[in-house]
Parts: sequence; C-alpha cells; structure tokens
Amino acid sequence: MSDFFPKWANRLPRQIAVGGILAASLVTAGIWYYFTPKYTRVGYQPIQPVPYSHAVHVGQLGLDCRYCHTGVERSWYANVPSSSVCMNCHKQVLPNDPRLELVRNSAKSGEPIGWVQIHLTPDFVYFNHAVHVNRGVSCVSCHGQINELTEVREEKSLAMFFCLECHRNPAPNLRPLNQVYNLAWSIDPQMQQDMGTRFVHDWKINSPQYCSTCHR
Amino acid sequence: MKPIPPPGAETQTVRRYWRSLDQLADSPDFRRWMEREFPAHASEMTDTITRRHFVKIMSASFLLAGVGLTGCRRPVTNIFPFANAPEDYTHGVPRFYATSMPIRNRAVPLLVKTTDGRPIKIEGNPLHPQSRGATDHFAQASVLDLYDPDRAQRFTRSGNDAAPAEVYDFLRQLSDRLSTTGGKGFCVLMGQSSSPSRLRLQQLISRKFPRARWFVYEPVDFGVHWRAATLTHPRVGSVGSERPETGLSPSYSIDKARVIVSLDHDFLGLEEDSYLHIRGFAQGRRLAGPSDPMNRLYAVESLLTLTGANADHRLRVPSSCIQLIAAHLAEEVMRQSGIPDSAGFRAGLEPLLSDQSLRVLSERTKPGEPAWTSRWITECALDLLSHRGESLVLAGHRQPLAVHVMAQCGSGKRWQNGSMA
Ligand code: HEC
Ligand code: HEC
Ligand code: HEC
Ligand code: HEC
Ligand code: HEC
Repeated sequence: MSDFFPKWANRLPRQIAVGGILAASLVTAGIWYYFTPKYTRVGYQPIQPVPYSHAVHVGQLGLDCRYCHTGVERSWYANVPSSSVCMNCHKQVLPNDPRLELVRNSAKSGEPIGWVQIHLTPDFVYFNHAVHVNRGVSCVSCHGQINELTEVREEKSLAMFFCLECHRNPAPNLRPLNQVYNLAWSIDPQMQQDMGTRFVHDWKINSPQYCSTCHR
Repeated sequence: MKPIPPPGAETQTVRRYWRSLDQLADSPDFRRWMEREFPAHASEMTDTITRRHFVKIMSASFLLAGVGLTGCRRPVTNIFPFANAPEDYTHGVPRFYATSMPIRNRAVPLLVKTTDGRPIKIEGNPLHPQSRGATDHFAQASVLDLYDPDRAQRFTRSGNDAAPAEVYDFLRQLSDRLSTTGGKGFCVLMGQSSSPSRLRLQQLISRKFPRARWFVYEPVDFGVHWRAATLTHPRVGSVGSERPETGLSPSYSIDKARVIVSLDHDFLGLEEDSYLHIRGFAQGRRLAGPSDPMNRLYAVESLLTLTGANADHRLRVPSSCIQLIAAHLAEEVMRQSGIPDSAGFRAGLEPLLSDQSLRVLSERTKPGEPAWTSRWITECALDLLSHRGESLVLAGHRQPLAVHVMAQCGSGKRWQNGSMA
C-alpha cells in the first residue's frame, strides 16, 4: 500500500480541512464586506449633467435647502428644483457660462434636465421626508455634509440596518427644529444626548420598528 | 381496488370497459392509433436543433453572461424635475378637486383626489351644505369610468370610427340643410339630465332650428314620485282645476324620521338621491348617548334589497301585493287614530281591503299563522301613530301611482288626522 501513497499524504486530510475552512471564511467575509449596501452604495457619485455644486450654493451662498428641495416639509418626496428656479439667479449670475448651457436651454424649451438619482430606496420600502424633517431629524443624518460637497455622493448606506439603528434610538439625531436645515450645526455629544432624550419625551417621538412601518 | 385496464386488447374473460366509442367499435383506425406512442399530429422534435441542444447552449450563454457580472451594475435612474414648475404643486402630495357628477335629476357634489394628474379616489364634498360629504355606490365606482377604455373617445358613425374632419364636415352639411327648413324633421333623442350646459346648448340649437324636436327617454320611470307629489300637494287655489300641477318633487329628511316605512322603496340602494338617504338613515341610527333615540325601519318588498337588509322589520310579499299592504296600513292607521273619516278616504281604499288576501299572504310567509300579516300591519300602524310628525312612508318607483299617493298622504300626516285632500 505504501507504494501508492507517499508519506506526506498522511497530512492531506488535515490540510484539506484547514484550507476548506479558510476558503469558506474568506468567501463569507468577502460577501459580507463587498456585497452589502455599505460597500456597494456608499460613495456612489455619478456625473451630473450640470456641474451644480452644493458647496458653492449652500456652503458659500448660504441658501436654504427648502429653496430648492421644496417638497421636503410636506411630501415624501424632497423634489429637485426645476430649471426656472436656477434661472431666478442665473439670469444675472454667470448668464453666459457654458456650464449652465443646459439649464438655460431647459428653461427656455421646457425640456427637463435629467439629473442622475443618487439616493434611492427599493420600491418595496416606504420612505417619507416630511415625517423626519418636521420632527427634528436633519438632512445630515441621512445625507451627510451635503453643504460641503461639490458633487453629491451617497454618504450613508440607507440600508435597512441604517434606518433601524436610528429608529431604535433616535435621541442622538434629534435637533431643535430651527437647526434641521443648518448642516454645519454641531453640539457637544453629551448635551446632544440629553437634549435628544428630552425631545423624544416632550415631542412624543415615536419611531416605529415594526415591519409595516416601512414595508407597507 | 381493481386496476384500470389499459385501453388496448383485453382478455374477454373480464368485463370489458371502454373509454371511447372508437374503442368500443374496435375499428382498425383505432388499433393503428393505439400502436403509436403519440397521436398523429403531435409534433415530434424533428428539428436539427433539439430541445436538449437548445437548453445546453442557453445554459452555456447564461454562464458566460454571468462571468462578466453585467447584470450587477447599478441601473442609472434619472430625476426629471419640471423645467418650469406649475404653481402650488408638490410632487407626492395629492391634490383635491371639487366637482360634481351629473345624474338624472341633479348632480352629486364630489371631491376627487388626484396624484400626478390621475384621479384615484372619489368622495362626497364635505363642504356642500346639502350632501355634506355623502356619496353612493355609483359615485364611488365612477372613478373606474374615468379609466374605462370604452368611454367615448372618438367620433363614431354607424358603429365605425370616424375622423374628426369628416364629422365636422357632416355636421356643417347637416346644419346647412336644416337651416333651409328651420329644422323640420330634425329630432334629438337623449337621456334625462340636469346639466345646465346641455340645456344651454339645447336652447342655442332650438333658436337656430325652431322646428327641431327633442325627446327624452329613460328606461326606468322615476317620474312617479314627482307625479304623486303633484297630485297630493296641489297648488293653493288649483284644487279641482284641470291641471293641479305644482311641479313638486319630494325630498325627504330621513335623518329626522323616527319611524320609516318603505313600500318597495330601495332608498339605500337604487332609488334616486340615495346618496342623501344613505347618509340621513345612518345619522338617524347614530347614537351619542344611551338615551338617544334611534330610527326604526319597516320594509315591505319583494326583492332582497339593501334597504330590506337594513330593516328592523321586513315583510316579504310579491310586488303585486304591496298595494294591498299599503291600503291595509292606511286603513289601520285611520282606525287606530279614531278620527272620523270625513273625506271618505276609506271608501277609496275599499276595493283593496280584504282579509282573505292578507290571510293568503300570511300562509305563504308564516305557515300556520293566518293572522301574522295583519298583526304586522297593526304593529306598524301603532308605531307610526306613536311618532306622529316624525314618521315617513316611502313608495318605490316600481309601484303604481296609487301606492305613492297613499304613501305621500301617510307621510304628510294626513292619515293620522284623517283627512285626504
Ligand atoms: C440651489 C438649489 C439647491 C439647494 C439650495 C440645495 N440643493 Fe440639493 N440638489 C440640488 C440639485 C439641482 C440637485 C440634483 C443634482 C445633484 O444631485 O447634484 C440636488 C441634489 C441633492 C441631493 C441628492 C439627490 C439624489 O439624487 O439622491 C441631496 C441629498 C441634496 N440635494 C440635499 C440638499 C441639502 C441637504 C440641502 C440643504 C443643505 C440642499 N440640497 C440644498 C439643488 C439644491
Ligand atoms: C441664489 C441664487 C442662485 C441660485 C438659485 C442658483 N445659483 Fe448657481 N450660482 C450662484 C452664484 C452666486 C454662483 C457663483 C458665481 C461665481 O462663482 O462667480 C453660482 C455658481 C453656479 C455654477 C458654477 C459652479 C462653480 O463651481 O462655480 C453652476 C454650475 C451653477 N451655479 C448651477 C446652478 C444650478 C443648476 C442651479 C439650480 C438648481 C443654480 N445654480 C441655482 C447663485 C445661484
Ligand atoms: C431619515 C433619512 C433622511 C433624511 C433626514 C433626509 N433624507 Fe433625503 N432621502 C432619504 C432617502 C432614503 C432618499 C431616497 C428616497 C427615494 O427612494 O426616492 C432621499 C432622497 C432625497 C432626494 C432625492 C429626491 C427624492 O426625494 O427622492 C433629495 C433631493 C433629498 N433626499 C433631500 C433631502 C433634504 C434637503 C433633506 C433635509 C431637509 C433630507 N433629504 C433629509 C433619506 C433622508
Ligand atoms: C436619524 C434618525 C432616523 C433615520 C436614519 C430614519 N428614521 Fe424614520 N423616523 C425617525 C423618527 C424620529 C421618526 C418618528 C417621527 C415621529 O415621531 O413622528 C421616524 C418615522 C418614520 C416613519 C413614519 C412612521 C409612522 O408611521 O409614523 C417612516 C415610514 C420611516 N421613519 C421610515 C424610515 C426609513 C425607510 C428609513 C431609512 C431609509 C428611516 N426612516 C430612517 C428617525 C429616523
Ligand atoms: C425603518 C424602516 C424599516 C423597517 C421598520 C423594516 N425595514 Fe426592511 N428594509 C428597509 C429598507 C430601507 C430596506 C432596503 C434595503 C436596501 O436598500 O438594500 C429594507 C429591506 C428589507 C428586505 C430585503 C432584503 C434586502 O436587504 O434587500 C427584507 C426581507 C426586509 N426589509 C424585511 C423586513 C422585516 C421582516 C421587517 C420587520 C422586522 C422590516 N424589514 C422592517 C427598511 C425597514
């Protein structure tokens, strides 16, 4: 028999077992990391048809989000501004800039601009902006520091664990209502915790976790 | 259990079963058919590409497609905002429009919910002083009409589509032809409608073609309510004249009624103005406190209607006998009220009054209780009388004028005080 199998073959079963376990955990870890929304989504930054910059308009000019995202307080949908809104200023500011060519044409012809959608929940999820924004959840919690971005990119995964994390404990994310649109606002974490807990109690905040909240 | 024998040759010792007439006849055609595995025209795979081959190729191509992970790219979705946004529009928030739905005799005030320009729900208009948000099932269902592919969307002529230009041409020629004769021989057939726009157009056409004639046709006659009201409530001074017309149409405050008797009047279902009656009836049943009064509904009917289903006391009789019940009820009310019948009302009812027919009716509904129907009537009359001024007797459009007249006299407190105008 010893003619058929060399000596090292004795170690083969153990090697196969260890190798198998290693390979399996590698695959699991790989899927865990690469196939979850944290990796597949965060950082998604498509090229927009017009190089519009939130850093310029919000960070430098100090425009309020609601000037453009008009639906955010009333609807599930935040709304992206129509070209005529841009033209309110850009009739005077940079009136002949080639980067704004598309906006000018659109306002004139009525042809909409096809902005590339960045944040998107699947169809089986019900999300509502008004319900969050009117209860002291700032845009920052879900969209990051938009006011500093030249190009918008997805900062948070917006996956189910992300929603639930806050729904279980909203206190660290609640602000006074007049600071919701001020993305640069910050406060000492301990004070934030105290204030958030107070808001949850005073405003009777109820962020439900049962499935039909978001899957209707 | 005996196994089912195959449909082929069988030994003659067991009893022969057959599954088709051909098999029973054991024709040579049938034998040949039996010998083949598949019936003659079932297509066998004679193509050069067999099914197996096809599956093999396709699985290989799916595999290759998967290797490139082309399906795993995030699809690009676009947001297309308005180029020039309309005023007062917020995407995602429904808009409401106040409107009305024209029906035969009036219009139902409605509030229509729309999202993205599509109507999705129709409700009554809560700000309307009369209906206060009431609707009926027709109004509720009318949202589907808006999406009905059979809605008139184009001109048709003799059942075929007609191009608009052709139709306008035809109409122009027609108009030219008619204007020479003032519209002689020109008739319009239409359904009943309360639309003021239609009236205006009709007047316009009539002015141009004075000899045009208009005909209104309805498959079901609801005018009997109106005729009865006109008969029982003649205009002051017109009593005895040839045409005691007042043009009245009855309108019921069902919400205020404490006792309601329906003589085949499906006021919660298919009668006119049911959108108002449903609301009124429900209001009369709504209790805020334990001592609040509640209305009581007696229904005499032949069909099972929604009204009958909601009745506290339902009497099921053939449609032809409802007139009989009405007469007995009227007679009973007059008898119980004890007021002398100065107007000779009872004499008018006489031909309809016979205990015999009541007994036959009882025998049909409650065998062995010959007095059942007359007891029902007695109790009903008692209830009506104990709520004088708060009771309502209604007659349905399927009933003849006589029943309506009795009913309207009943509601008008005339039975109760014994006079008949
Ligand atoms: C002058 C108008 C304007 C103002 C003010 C503005 N935005 Fe925007 N915003 C846009 C336009 C245009 C887009 C679409 C182009 C893009 O994605 O960069 C957009 C896109 C976004 C998106 C990404 C939408 C997507 O596709 O998922 C977010 C999130 C956003 N804005 C948040 C904010 C926040 C938060 C503020 C306030 C701090 C704000 N915006 C202020 C015009 C504006
Ligand atoms: C409140 C007025 C105002 C509105 C509204 C506005 N802009 Fe501007 N925009 C400005 C000003 C001011 C500048 C800076 C001009 C400069 O740099 O000289 C600017 C600059 C820009 C630039 C040049 C970017 C850069 O990095 O300098 C672009 C592109 C632009 N805007 C696009 C838009 C679009 C698209 C909209 C509509 C969604 C819009 N703007 C709405 C005031 C406005
Ligand atoms: C609780 C988390 C959350 C908050 C807070 C929030 N957003 Fe969003 N936002 C989302 C999600 C999730 C989407 C993707 C929605 C979808 O699927 O259409 C989104 C989408 C958007 C879009 C793209 C258009 C749309 O509505 O789909 C804009 C613009 C936007 N948000 C702006 C804002 C602004 C401005 C604020 C603050 C005033 C804000 N958001 C606050 C979660 C949030
Ligand atoms: C930063 C905190 C936060 C995040 C992140 C968040 N939510 Fe919420 N959400 C809240 C709070 C707080 C409320 C309760 C508001 C109230 O009390 O009216 C709420 C309420 C809701 C409601 C309304 C529940 C109801 O019926 O009243 C829905 C739906 C909802 N969230 C969906 C989502 C979804 C989907 C996501 C993820 C994309 C999400 N939320 C992420 C804080 C958050
Ligand atoms: C606060 C909102 C919220 C609640 C509550 C919630 N979900 Fe989700 N769920 C989401 C969002 C957002 C996604 C989409 C994740 C994504 O984009 O990949 C999701 C996705 C899913 C998916 C699809 C799996 C996936 O990753 O794509 C399943 C299954 C699911 N949820 C089940 C549930 C069940 C079961 C419950 C109740 C225990 C529940 N959800 C409660 C927000 C919620």
